[in-house]
Amino acid sequence: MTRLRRLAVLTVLLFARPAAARPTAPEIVQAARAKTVACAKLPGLPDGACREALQILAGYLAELKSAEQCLAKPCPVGTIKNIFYADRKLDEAEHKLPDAVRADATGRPLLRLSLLVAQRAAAALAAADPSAEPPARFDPPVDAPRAVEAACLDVPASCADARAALDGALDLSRRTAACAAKPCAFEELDAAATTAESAMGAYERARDTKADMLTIFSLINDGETRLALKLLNDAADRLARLQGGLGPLQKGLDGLETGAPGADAVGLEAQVGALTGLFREASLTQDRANAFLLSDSKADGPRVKLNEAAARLAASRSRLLALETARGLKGPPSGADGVFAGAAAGGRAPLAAQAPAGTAPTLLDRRTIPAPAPLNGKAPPILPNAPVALDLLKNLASDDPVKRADARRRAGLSYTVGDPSGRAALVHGQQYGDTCAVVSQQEVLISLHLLPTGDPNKQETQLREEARSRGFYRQGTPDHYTADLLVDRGVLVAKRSGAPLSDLDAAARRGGLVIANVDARYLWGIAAPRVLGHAIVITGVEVDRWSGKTVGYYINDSGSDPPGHGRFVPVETFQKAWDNHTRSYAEVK
Amino acid sequence: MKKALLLCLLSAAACSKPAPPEPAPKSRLELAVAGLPATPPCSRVIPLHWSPSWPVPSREGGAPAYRLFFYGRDGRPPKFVYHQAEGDAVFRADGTVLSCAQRAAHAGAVAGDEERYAGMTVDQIVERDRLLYFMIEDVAGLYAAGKPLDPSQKKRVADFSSAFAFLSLAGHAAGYRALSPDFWTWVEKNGGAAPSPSPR
Repeated sequence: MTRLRRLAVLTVLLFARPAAARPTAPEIVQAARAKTVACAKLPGLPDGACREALQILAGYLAELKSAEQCLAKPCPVGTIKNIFYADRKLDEAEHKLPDAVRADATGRPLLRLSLLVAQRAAAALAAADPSAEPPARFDPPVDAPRAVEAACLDVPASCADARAALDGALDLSRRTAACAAKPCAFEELDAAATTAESAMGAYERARDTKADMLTIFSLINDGETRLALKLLNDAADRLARLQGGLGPLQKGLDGLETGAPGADAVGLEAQVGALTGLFREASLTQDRANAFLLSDSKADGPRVKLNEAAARLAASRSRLLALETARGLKGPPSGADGVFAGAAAGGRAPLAAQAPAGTAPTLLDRRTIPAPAPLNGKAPPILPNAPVALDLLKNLASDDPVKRADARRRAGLSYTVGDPSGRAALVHGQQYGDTCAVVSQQEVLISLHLLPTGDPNKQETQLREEARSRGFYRQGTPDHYTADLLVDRGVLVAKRSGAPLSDLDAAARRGGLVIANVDARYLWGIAAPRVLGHAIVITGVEVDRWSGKTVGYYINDSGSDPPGHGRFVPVETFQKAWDNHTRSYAEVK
Repeated sequence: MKKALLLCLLSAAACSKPAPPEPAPKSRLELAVAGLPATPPCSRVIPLHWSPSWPVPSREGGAPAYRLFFYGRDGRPPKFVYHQAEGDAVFRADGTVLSCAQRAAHAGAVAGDEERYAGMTVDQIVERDRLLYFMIEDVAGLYAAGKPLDPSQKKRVADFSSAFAFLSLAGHAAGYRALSPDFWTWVEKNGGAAPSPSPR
C-alpha cells in the first residue's frame, strides 16, 4: 500500500507540471552542457568543432555568472553592456558551428543559454539604471535562429511555425543563390517561390508570439526581393518568346489554310503546345514576381500583354483546330466548351487519341477546339413556373427585373449567349467557407475535361490542398493568385482587376467561362452591413434583341443555399455586386 | 419574331422602361476600401472572400490614415457565423496601402446579427453604408485637425458613432476599439461612444 501511495504521489508529481512549461534556468544550462559534451561522440565533424563548442559554452556560462552577479549586486551600466556584447560575439561563433554540434531535436541549446544570459543581463541593467536600454542588435542570419528559440521558449505552440519560417527562409536563400550562380529552369524558380510563400505563411502564423520575429521576416523578405528580380527578368523573357512565337504561328496557319507546301498541322499543334507552356510559365512567374515586389498584378503592363497573348494564342488554337476539322483531320466540335464528343455523329476521336505516332503528348490543356459561343444557347428558366399569358404581358412591364427578363425571354425579345444549361451541372455547394474561388476553378477544370469525373467534394478538398502547396491559397485565394490553378494546368486565362462592368460583359459575351469576384449581398439578398466577398462563375449572358444590351447574367454560385445552377441575375443587380468589390475577373480563353 | 414584335407593341412600357435613379456617388474612402483586397500588399495576403471591417481613422506617423481588419465567415446564406479579425490593413484615403498582413489566427467566431436589419433591403443597407463612409471621412477630418470641437461638430461625432454602432457587428466591438484606441478616446471625449459589445 505504501509503495502504491508513493507511486501515486510520484505520478502526480511527474504529471502535475504542464507538458509545455518553460524550462528552468538550470534545465537550460544542463541541456546546453549535455549537447556540447555529446559532441565528442558525433562522427565526421571538422577538426576543432567540439573544442570550439566547449569554448562557446564556457563563454556563455561565464557571461551568465557575470550577469547574475550584477543582478545580485548592481554593476556599472558599461559592465552590463559588455555582457550583451560578449553574448553577441558568442552567438556569432555559435552560428558558425556545424548543425550537428549546435542543434538537436529540441532546437539549439546554446542559443537558449544565450537567451538566458540576455534575460539576466536585461534584469541587471534595469536594476542598475531603469532608463538604460540593452544595446540594439539586428543581424538576421545570426539573430533569426535565436528568435526561433525565444518563440519556442515563450509560446511552445508557435515553435513549429517559427522553425518552419526560418527553415523556409534559409531554403529560399539557398535556392535564390543557386539561381543567381547559374540559369534556373522554370520549375526551380517556381519551387523557390513556393518556398517563399510557405515560409511567409509560417511566419504569419508564428509572429504573434512575444518573441521579436522581425529578423525572420527580414530574412524571408530579403530572399523574396532577390528572387522577385530574377522572376521578373524570367517572366519578361518568356513573354517576349511567347510574343515572338505568335507571328510564326500565324504564318503557319495562313500556310495551312492556303495549302502551302510544307504546311504541317501536327507541327503547328506542337507550336501551340509550346506557346501554351510558355504562357503558363510567364503568367505564373509574373504573378509570383508581382506578389513579392508588391506591384499591381492585374493592372500592370506585363499582365496586359499576357492577356493579349492569351487571346491571340486562343484564337490561333481555334483557327488551327477549325482548319483541321475542315480538312477532315478532326471531328466537329460539340458539347460544352467545345470539347470533342469523339466518335459521336461520325466525328473522329479527340486530338490526343489520334495524334500521329512519335508525337509527344503534352500534359497541358488539350482542348481540341473551343466552340464558338452558341447564340440562343439553352438556359435554365429564369422563373421556375411559366406565367400565364396575361401575367406574361404584365411582366413585360414589371418593375421586377427578374420577371421582366423572364417575360422578355419567353417572348423572344432576348437571346442567350453561352451555355448556362450545359454548364449548370458543373457547380456543387462548397464545403468550406473559403473555397469559392477554388470551386470556381474546379468548375472550369471539369468543363475542360481537365479533372477526372469523381466526387466533387473530394476534388474540392484536393484542389484546396494543391493550391495551398503551390502558394496560391492562404485561408482563401488572394487576388494575386486568382485562377492560377487553371494557369498551372496550361489553361489560357486573361485576368483583370479594377475593370468596368463593360469589360467583364465583353468577356462573358465571348461565351467562355468567366470567374468574377462580387459582393454577394446582392446575389443572396442579405442585408449584411459589410461586403460579402465571393467568387462565382458566369456561364452565360442574356442579351436584348432590340437594343443589344445585356439583360442579365447566368451564374453558377457555389456559396448560395441551394447552390446556383445557372441562376439568372439581372444586370442591375450584378452591376451593384460588381461595383462593391474589387471588380476583378478571370476569363477562360 | 412577329410574336416578339406584337408583344412589344402591346406592352410599349416594356420597351421604354424609365431608367432607374442613379445611385449616390461613392466617397473616396469607400472606393479605397472596395479596392483594398486587390491592392498590393493586400492582394498577396488577403483572400478575396474576406469582408473588410469599417475603416477607423488613425494617425500613422502623424499623417491621417485609416485602419481596418478583415474577417472571414462560415455557414451559408442567409445565416453566417463571422470570424474575429484575421488580417489588418493600414491605408490612406487615396487607396495607398501602408501595410497589410494576416494575423496568426482569428480569436474565435462572432454571431451575425442581421436580424437588426430585418425588413431592410440590401440597397437600403448599402445606402446607409455609403452615408457612413462619408461620416467617417468627415469625422476623420475633425480628428486629424486636433482642434476643440464646437457643438455642431460634436453632434456630427455623436451621429457618426450611432451610425457606426448600427452598421457594425456587436461581436467586433473589441476589434474596432483595438484598431485605433486614441481615436475612440477622442470620440468619447467629443460626445460619441466607442463600439460596445451590446448592440444599441
